[in-house]
Formats: sequence, structure tokens, C-alpha cells
Amino acid sequence: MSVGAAAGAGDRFPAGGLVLGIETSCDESAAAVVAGGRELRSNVIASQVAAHRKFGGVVPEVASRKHLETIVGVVDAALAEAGVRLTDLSGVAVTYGPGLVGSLLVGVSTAKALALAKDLPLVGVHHVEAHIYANFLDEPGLEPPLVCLTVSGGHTALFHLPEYGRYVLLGQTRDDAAGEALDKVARVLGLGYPGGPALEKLAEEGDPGAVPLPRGLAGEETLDFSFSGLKTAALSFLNSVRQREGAIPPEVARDLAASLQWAVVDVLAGRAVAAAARAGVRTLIVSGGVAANRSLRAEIRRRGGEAGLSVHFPPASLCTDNAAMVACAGYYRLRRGERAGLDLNAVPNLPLAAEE
Amino acid sequence: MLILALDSSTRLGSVALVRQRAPVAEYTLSVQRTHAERLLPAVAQVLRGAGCTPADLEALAVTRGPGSFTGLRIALATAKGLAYALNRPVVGVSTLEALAYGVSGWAGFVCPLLDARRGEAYAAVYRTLPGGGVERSSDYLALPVPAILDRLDEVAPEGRVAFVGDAVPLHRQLLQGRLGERAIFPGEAVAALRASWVGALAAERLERGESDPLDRLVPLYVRPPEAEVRWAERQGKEGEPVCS
Repeated sequence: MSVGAAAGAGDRFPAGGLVLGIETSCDESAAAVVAGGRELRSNVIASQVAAHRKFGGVVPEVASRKHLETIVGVVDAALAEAGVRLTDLSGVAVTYGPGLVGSLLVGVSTAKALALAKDLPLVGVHHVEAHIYANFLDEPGLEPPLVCLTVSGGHTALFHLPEYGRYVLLGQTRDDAAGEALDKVARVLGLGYPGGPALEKLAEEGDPGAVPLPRGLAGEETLDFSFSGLKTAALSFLNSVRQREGAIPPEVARDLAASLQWAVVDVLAGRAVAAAARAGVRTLIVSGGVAANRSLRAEIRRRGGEAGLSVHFPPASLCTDNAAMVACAGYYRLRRGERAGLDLNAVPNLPLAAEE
Repeated sequence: MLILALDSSTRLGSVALVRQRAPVAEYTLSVQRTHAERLLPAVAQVLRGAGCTPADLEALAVTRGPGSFTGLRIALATAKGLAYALNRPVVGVSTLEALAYGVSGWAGFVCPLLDARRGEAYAAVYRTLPGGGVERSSDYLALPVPAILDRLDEVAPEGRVAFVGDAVPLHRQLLQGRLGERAIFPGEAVAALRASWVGALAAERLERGESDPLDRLVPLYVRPPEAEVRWAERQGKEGEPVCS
């Protein structure tokens, strides 16, 4: 297996080189061009939300079919927007896991074909690693060491990055991801798909203290998370209201949304600031789809500021799945001499090479 | 015209370089290793063997199914990526037509049968042409083999029928029983789909000036996604219009 193999001497990847990133791990077909790992030249995303809405969630076979229809057009648009041709690129980076295998394979196969056709260096990127690197794209001065809270519909974890390419896992969810708990309750509230942003909007009008909800692993000396108890408590609360009243009154829905969001934000912000202290770093960054949540951003800024931390979030457009973050993470891998072979495969359960 | 032809539609996988409809290089594997891992290394292998570079390619050909959905997507994404990067035309060829083409050159019918799981097979009926090649005389089917044979009776009521494809060994007794001496089994020698046949079929279309636009080249799935079927059933039950 030549994945991740170091390149030979003389195969030095140029500083400032243009990298094409490709991302198809779930339901967004995305391509982007980034210069020198930091400078965004283009960032094109074809969302499939409309195709999955009637199913109430992402259907893997539907996602794979859509990716194959859109990916070449998305790559073409990314190159055109950046004003570059394939021959101007120094390398190609592609997400090879974790994610939906059929979706990942479309991006991986396309990236490998482009690399072979134009004799370009190719590198595989871990999806969660890419989310972390989204922070570097709009903050030129941001450098490791730092702690990153990664929080999305599929992941909730705290990593310490002592330097580029090294990840020390400080804590992670023992059951549901934070976004998964929010999406599930949103679905029961009839907020449609995807539910997270709709729940955030509903929570704006509610009272975050109205419904008492548990904090997972409260009082434990841990940086791990648990959201399944919170999710169950929110769902059984809704169930009891429905049995009593026959339906969920709008003000109850608003209060529950606000209380649930606050319970999630409270835990995430508390653990993230504690993790920075334990790792002894001064910088805290946040990544993943839930990093776009305004309540989470405000609370982490507040508590991080009190603890004397420099706090950074990617712009909302780079929080959800995109290929610019893949190009950025890929650039640093290519600079370290990593290259993927033409046998690069999708790895649906790819672990992040994290140190415990 | 130098054509690179790819097939990953079944367990087998085949890559060929074809010039003037004849194979220059061909690499066919029947192994457990995934198509994702072996397709592009196979492309590199045939190019190296023929002393060519990717820039020498003048067109791409690829089987677009029916077959394994994942295998089809790997080959189509690869073919599209190569066609886009090299700015060359690409032609999608039906897997069933390529199988039928491999045993053409006589007067009669060919019925390729590919295992579609769930007790069904992918199939179509082809008439062989006097000048070589085949012409499709049925729809693309995903059905239990007895139902495929009912369809075969309608479009090919007489004449000999050659059965090829990976589902034939599974159903040989049934085929023999229904068609008797009309059934021909060309056997193992032509059981494996060869990418050079795919390249030759693509060459015919390319010579006529035809190719497939990249955004419209999609697999011949024949079956809709399972979630679509269940969704349509739910809508039907609730008395709402079923989306086409």
C-alpha cells in the first residue's frame, strides 16, 4: 500500500503551490483551489440537500448517483473560478474517509484520474482533519500549537495539535455526536431536514432555562462527551407533552429548542476551554458543521476570552463540508512529502492517526 | 484512433488499449481486490506496456452497466476524469452489448445474463448482424430468469440463442430446459468481458462522430435506488401521486 508513503528526495512540493481539493464524503460534491495552503482561490459546492429532503436524511445510494453526475462540472467550475488550468496545479488532494463509501469513491476515482492524466502528485486527506484545517484558511497568523473542538452531525472530539500533522486525541463522544442529537430532536419537532439550522432559529425565541435537561458525564474528570442521555431526555419530554396536550404547543417547542441548544453549548464550551488548559495552549479553534451555530460561537468566545485564550472559528461557509479545507490539509501533507498511489481506496471508517 | 477502454461492471475487471478496433494491450483480472484499488494501476500498466502516455490517448470508452453500482461508478468517474483532464471524447457502452458483441459473427440471438442478486438477472436480447456486431431487440431488464425467458420468447420466437455472462452457470438447467437445442453455451472462453470489445464498440460510435457529454454520461442502473422504491410505495399507500 503506497498511501501516505513518503516521496523520494528531489520530489519537494513547492511552497505556495496550487492544490485542487475534492470532497465527496457525504452529500456535498465540492472542489476548490487553494494557493500555499492558505489562500482561497475558489470554493465550489454542489449541495444535494434537495435530493435527500423527501427521505428525511441522506440516502447513500442517491448521494453516490448525484456525485457522479456533478463532480466533473464542480471541478471545472473550481478551476474556472480560480482562473487556472490543471497544468497550473502542483497537486491534487481528496477526502478518502471517513464517510459514505460509495460517495467517497466518486471523488477518489476522479482525483486519481486527474492525477494520472496530468502527472500530478496526489494525496489522500482525512475528513475530520480537513475540518480542522478550515480554520487556517481565513486566519494567516493561526499556527499550532492549539486545541481544536470538532463538532458536527457525525463527530464530536477534542484534539491537541502540537504541530502540523500531529493530532493528540483529548476526548470524544462516547455515543451520539452533538449534531446528531440536535438533528434527531429537530426531526421529532417536525423541523424537516437538515434540522440543525432550523432548530437554532427556533431556539432564538425560547427560554434556555425553561426545560431542565441533563449534562452528560457531569462531574466526571473527563474531556469525553455523551449526548445520548440528553437526546433521550428531550425526546421523552416532548412525548409527555404530546400525550398531555395532544400536540406540542409552539412556545413549548421554542423553549425546548433553546434549552437543548444551551445544554449542548454549555458542555461543548466548558470541555473545550478545559482541554486548552490541560494541553497548555493559548489558542482554541472550532470546526465542523455545528461550529456555524451562533450560540456556540458566542459562548466559546466568552468563556475562552475569560480564560485568556485566543479563539478562532472558520467563517460559516467553511464550517460545513467543502473542498477548500481538503486542499489546505492536503497542502501540508504534500509539503511533508506524503503521496498516495494510484491504488488509493476509500476508507469509510478511516481513523484519524491520533495519538492518545 | 487510440482508445482506452475500461470495465469494472462485474467482479472481473478489464482495461484495454484499442487501435482500429483491434487490441494493442489488454489487462484482465478476476481477483478479490477492489476495483478502486486495481483500476488505475491497470491503466498505468497497459499504457506502460504499449509504450504510451496518457496524452497519447485519443478517446475513452467505458462500460456503463448494468452491473455492480459501485463498480460502474468507479469506472465512470475514472473515465470522466481522464476525458476531462485530457480533453478527449468519451463513449459509454452497455455491458450487455459488449458481452453480446464478444460472441457475434453468426446468425441468431445473444442473451447476456448478469447476476443482479435478489434472485434476478440483468439481461437484454440482441440479434446478431450479418456484417458482424449486434442490435438490441429488447429493453434492458432486471428480472427473475423465468420472466426474462418469457420476454425472450416474444422478441426471439425462433432461431438459436447464445447465453453469456456470469449468471449463466447459475441457471443453465433452466435455460436448457426452456429452450432445448435452441440454447447455445459458448462457455468459459468468452465468459469474461474483455475491455477490447468495449473499445471496438466505442470506435464505431466515435467514427460516426458520436460521443457522450460528460454531464450526461451516467450508469445504466436499470433499478432505481431502494429508498426511491420504498418512498414511492409509501406515497402510493397514502393515496398521493407517485413521483416518476
